[in-house]
Amino acid sequence: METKFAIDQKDGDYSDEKYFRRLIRSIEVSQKYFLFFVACNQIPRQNELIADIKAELPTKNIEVINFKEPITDLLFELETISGDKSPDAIFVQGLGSSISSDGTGDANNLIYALNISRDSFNDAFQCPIYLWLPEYAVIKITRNAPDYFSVRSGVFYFSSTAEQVISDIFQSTSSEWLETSSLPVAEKQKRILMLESLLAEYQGLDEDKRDKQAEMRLYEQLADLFYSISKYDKAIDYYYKALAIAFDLDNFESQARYCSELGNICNERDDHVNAIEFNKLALKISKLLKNKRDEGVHLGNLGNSYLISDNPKKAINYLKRALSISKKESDEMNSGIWLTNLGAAYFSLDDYKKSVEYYKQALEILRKTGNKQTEVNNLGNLGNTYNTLGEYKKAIECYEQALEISKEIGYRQGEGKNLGSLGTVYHNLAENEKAKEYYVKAIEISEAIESADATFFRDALALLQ
Amino acid sequence: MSKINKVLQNIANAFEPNLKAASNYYTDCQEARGGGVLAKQVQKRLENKKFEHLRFLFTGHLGCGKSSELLHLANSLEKNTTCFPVYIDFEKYLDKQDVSLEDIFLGMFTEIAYACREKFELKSRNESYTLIKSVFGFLKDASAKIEFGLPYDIAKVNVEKLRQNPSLRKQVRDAITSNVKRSLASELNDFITEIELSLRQHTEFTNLIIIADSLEKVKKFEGEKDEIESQTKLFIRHAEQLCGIVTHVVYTVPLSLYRSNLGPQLPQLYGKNVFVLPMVKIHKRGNFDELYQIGIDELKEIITKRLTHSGTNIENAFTDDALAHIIKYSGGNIRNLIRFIQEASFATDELPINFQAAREAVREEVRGFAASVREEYFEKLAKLDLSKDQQIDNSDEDYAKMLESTAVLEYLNGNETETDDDYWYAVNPAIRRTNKFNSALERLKTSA
Repeated sequence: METKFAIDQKDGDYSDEKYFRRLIRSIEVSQKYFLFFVACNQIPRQNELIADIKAELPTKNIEVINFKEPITDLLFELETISGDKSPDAIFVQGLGSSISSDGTGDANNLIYALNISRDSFNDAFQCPIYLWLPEYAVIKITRNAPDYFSVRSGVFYFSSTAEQVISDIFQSTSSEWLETSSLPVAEKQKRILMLESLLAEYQGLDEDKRDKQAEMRLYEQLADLFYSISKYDKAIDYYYKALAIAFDLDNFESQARYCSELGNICNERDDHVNAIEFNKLALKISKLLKNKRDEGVHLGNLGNSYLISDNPKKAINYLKRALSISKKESDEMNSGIWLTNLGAAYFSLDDYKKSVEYYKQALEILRKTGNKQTEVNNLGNLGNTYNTLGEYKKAIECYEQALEISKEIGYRQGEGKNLGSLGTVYHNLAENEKAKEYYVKAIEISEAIESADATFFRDALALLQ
Repeated sequence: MSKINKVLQNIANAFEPNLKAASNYYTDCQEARGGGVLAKQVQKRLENKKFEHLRFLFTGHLGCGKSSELLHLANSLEKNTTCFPVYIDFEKYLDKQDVSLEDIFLGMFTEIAYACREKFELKSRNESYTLIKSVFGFLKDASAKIEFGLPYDIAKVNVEKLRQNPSLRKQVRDAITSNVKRSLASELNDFITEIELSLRQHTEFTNLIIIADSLEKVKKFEGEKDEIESQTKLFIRHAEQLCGIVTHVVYTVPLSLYRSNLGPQLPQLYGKNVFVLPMVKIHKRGNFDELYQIGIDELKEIITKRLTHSGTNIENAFTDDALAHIIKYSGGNIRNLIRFIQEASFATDELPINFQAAREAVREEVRGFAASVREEYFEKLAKLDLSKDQQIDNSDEDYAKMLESTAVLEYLNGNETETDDDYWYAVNPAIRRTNKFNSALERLKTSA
């Protein structure tokens, strides 16, 4: 069994009772300001413990301060709140939300402020202060403020009960949490830390108290998060772990999903051989399950893998099968994707007419689904194909439409790209002045958003001059 | 409260990891830290170079006792030399996340003025410190209540407050830098010259020596975002300004910078007076289990001094195995030693403090490292442990980070060898108790 905190077993087991005793003693004994950390993830558990501590020390005056909002300057807040009272100890709760998950540079950052006022605590308080924090936040402080952390007088760790851990896992992997793709990176990282500390707690539970379903969801969520920040090694690791449990539990849906995600990651890493294998496996499972919709998705993904691995003929075969399923299922979003990819596949076979046909169909569907950004990209693809065919007028029409939509939805990258594409067409038409104008605008935008396209447009412009 | 509990309470309150050692607690650990004793050496060099302004650099690990050593230095210089020490804890003056040279010079100005007035009632008679006057004006505006009393004796408290007030700080900096005719450095130097003149006239002292503590903790300097960049800019690119002060100065620099590949530039820029305060050596190089008794005795002396008024002594306070455990896992880091003892005193209600309590105290350190050391560092730590020469790659920033977080500790063979530069490194003993480290060690051994 993995030990709870990956520490040598000879250091004995960690019991809450021991930490509790020590915490009690530290309050009894401390006659001046000392800094303590109490690592405890669950707020209900924190409250329980605080109630127990107060019951144990009825003569001690313990002041509990709970911050509901993020704060930046603990010293100031504490001085304001505690005023002239002289308690025997101060407990501070609710700091978790004030500790951001990135470095210490952010001005709105508690750790940073703690560092600044480190010495002033000594002068301002005559009693010990206990900061109650989730474990990830304690780690954060250790890493980002080692000098501050090193003057602590102790850390007390409290685990949660098995039921609490399990219910926490289910809560933090529930459906409203699952939509992670649109979160900012910092938020994702914060969530990763939170989930990993939950995982550590879970791993500390006895075998018979564990819940495989919860464990699998935890891995899945972590894998999704790592995937979305392009940490592929970690993502693969967690998908594998999740997959292993899915096999144990005979959970075919999940098996198919993890295989499919693994396939996608392999694609991203240009590992097409494995990508194809994973997608085939996912396909096989969904066939077994007779889940047509999923089968279609896996067929399509397999087609994508072939497309990227430069095998357009095979790609077309799978994409067409995927398309027929997605149409039957009235799954417009996926239909749009498969059609786009079919357009791309024919383009790489130099069959531009067919390419145009599919792109047009894709466009029609995408307009219905209202995904403007995909529409812009598709218009761009279509324009490119016309451009290759020498149908410059049509190409210009596509690019101009794409440009307009980009402006409308504030899609700067699309704006830059299509301005550049217009430059290319006018270049092809030998209308050099116009071409120049577009390139200059394209460069301006691409540089502003630090897009790699800028170099490309600059080269093109140089060629003109 | 029972007598035993009273004693334990005394122990807990005497072993405070968050404060510098007061002079009654100061212990000289020269034997196990190498021969370069700061105070003696600085004194000697000051005597040899009467007419030159000397720069000293001082560095060492977090919590190894740098500030305690510097306070000791200040005490002994004041007693034994004609240099009047002005000890400045820059933690009081600087916002570590946003530091500029002006902040540093302003801190020096303030602290020198304060120290000379407190000690000798010396004050400046010169009216020409335009910039300081303007800073003065700002501070007065910002807090009208403050009374300044003497001219140019900038109220220390007010300058200290700049640390917590970014916008006022910016105003002050702007006021200083926008004046193209004057520079704060030259005003500081004029001030130092004036003060030294009155020192000679009115006291037995002839010179100042500024002891600038906590500068190694600067994280961001003049807009640099990166910590290492910031430290390079401050200590290397601005060495000329830091060396331009017309009296003796001791600067603390980060150990991670001194041990990086830029490190050799420091003695070139500041002169050869660089002192490193390593960990107290408690085991032999390359062999964690072979103890170094001299170092252990020195740590015991530190403990003994702190136990003076606690109503017990070292023999009665700890069982032998408890004391051995605490010392061994402190790695010779004084702050850890002190914290372990405090934590152990929370873990028991019996005397002597037994092995179980000692183990619990150490365990928190182990747990902290197990959770906070970055995954990818464990292999590098294992590599260091298996290496033949116990050296680290100074171009590897990871090792710099590990030095900073005390995951890697620095030692000096000291009196055992002839050279003064026989440094070696070891993995923090608390990390040795983590599973992650041990499995990294196993992996390396099997792959070798």
